[in-house]
Amino acid sequence: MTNGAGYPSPIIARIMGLRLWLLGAAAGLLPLGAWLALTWAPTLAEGFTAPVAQRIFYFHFGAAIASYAGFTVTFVASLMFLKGRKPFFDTLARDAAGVSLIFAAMMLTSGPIWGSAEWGVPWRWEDSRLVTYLVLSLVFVGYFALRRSIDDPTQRARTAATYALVGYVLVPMSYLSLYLWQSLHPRVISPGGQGVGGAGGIVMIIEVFGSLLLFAALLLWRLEVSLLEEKVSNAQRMVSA
Amino acid sequence: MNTQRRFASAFALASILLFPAPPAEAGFVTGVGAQRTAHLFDASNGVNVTVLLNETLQGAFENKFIFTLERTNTTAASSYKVAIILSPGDPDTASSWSAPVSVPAGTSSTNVAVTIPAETIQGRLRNAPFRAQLEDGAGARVDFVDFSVDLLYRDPPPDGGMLQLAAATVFFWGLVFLYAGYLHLSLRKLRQKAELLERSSEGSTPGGSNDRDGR
Repeated sequence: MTNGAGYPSPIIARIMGLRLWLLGAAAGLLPLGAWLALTWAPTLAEGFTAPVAQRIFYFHFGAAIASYAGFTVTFVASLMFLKGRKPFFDTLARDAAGVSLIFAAMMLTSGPIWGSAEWGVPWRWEDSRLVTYLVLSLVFVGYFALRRSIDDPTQRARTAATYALVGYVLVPMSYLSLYLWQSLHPRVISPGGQGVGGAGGIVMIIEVFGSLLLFAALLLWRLEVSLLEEKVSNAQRMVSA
Repeated sequence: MNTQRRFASAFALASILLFPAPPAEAGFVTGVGAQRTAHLFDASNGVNVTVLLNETLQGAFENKFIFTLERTNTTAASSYKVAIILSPGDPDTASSWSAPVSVPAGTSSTNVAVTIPAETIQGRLRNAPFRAQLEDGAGARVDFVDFSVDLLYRDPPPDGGMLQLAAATVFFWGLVFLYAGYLHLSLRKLRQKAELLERSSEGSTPGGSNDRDGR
């Protein structure tokens, strides 16, 4: 994937060139989804005391899928790093975790805002989905704290990759928490949920695709920054030598 | 005379109907204010049961009732069931939550919790009929006490949550734009730095120090 200095191969460079296209597609899909969520998606009055705030679900769900996808990229990249020790995968794992945390922050703000309308309180500690997702996010905040605490780049990359592999256990745990433990989290499209109807389903798919495209665009953008940082760092070393 | 006798009979009948004699050791409620204590008995086995009852139940949250079964030295080992019943006597709306409990022989006390899970009671109702009940192991009623509670549920937002929807949208896009702005500025700075370095490698002075180490 990288040449000796850690720069991306031409294929990766070409993929990174897609960033603007992805960003454009996300910038088209997400507002379209938001507009359709407001005007076209059915109002789920049954079981919800705040049917307007319920529409937060569409981008909340998209952000959730994007964050899970991002933590999965971190998991796979960490695995690849431990297997081949190529620095690019360490960079990819770190950047995917960073962008995933942005989506996690979207989740952790939109969820409590919805909760304050629906439940009357923003957070409920007895809800397993909320708590496991918060722990998952904190584990990946810890991932960055861990990276900052280790000076040796090789050891840092190895330790962070191992940490990410272990921390990833929380992703399926968070997803399955709805079925394993007591949860007040609404089951909209999960088994046993009331569903969102045909129009709601289309809006949901638009938001999920939009969020995934946004995630991919931000990740490529972040990777571009990281690889340029590396290039500048190498050039500085060469100049000072 | 006949009229007097008839009046006396009618009065006696009305008294029986209006004020029936309580059964021995029948359940009762003590205390004042928002929290009362219900007392239930199984006199035949020397078991006294107490449970704290809130006058208000918040339907959006879990409501837990701790039954304490105090035993005397005449108590024989036996099984019971303690129950909380909402709207007893109305088969259409009655709901009950119960928990089994086994008490060993001899003095001491045993606690058992009956929980009404969050989001189970939905709706708002003042003075809803409410019962705490003690049953034997076979499910036959041993004793009960009737009470009334106020069922509260969260207030729905007047605009259906429009304010929250707007706030969540602002946070969502705010985070996207903040992060994109940060990436854009970082990239611009790095490109400037790379350009300076390129020039310096051609003979000019190198620009700035590098503080980025991949963390």
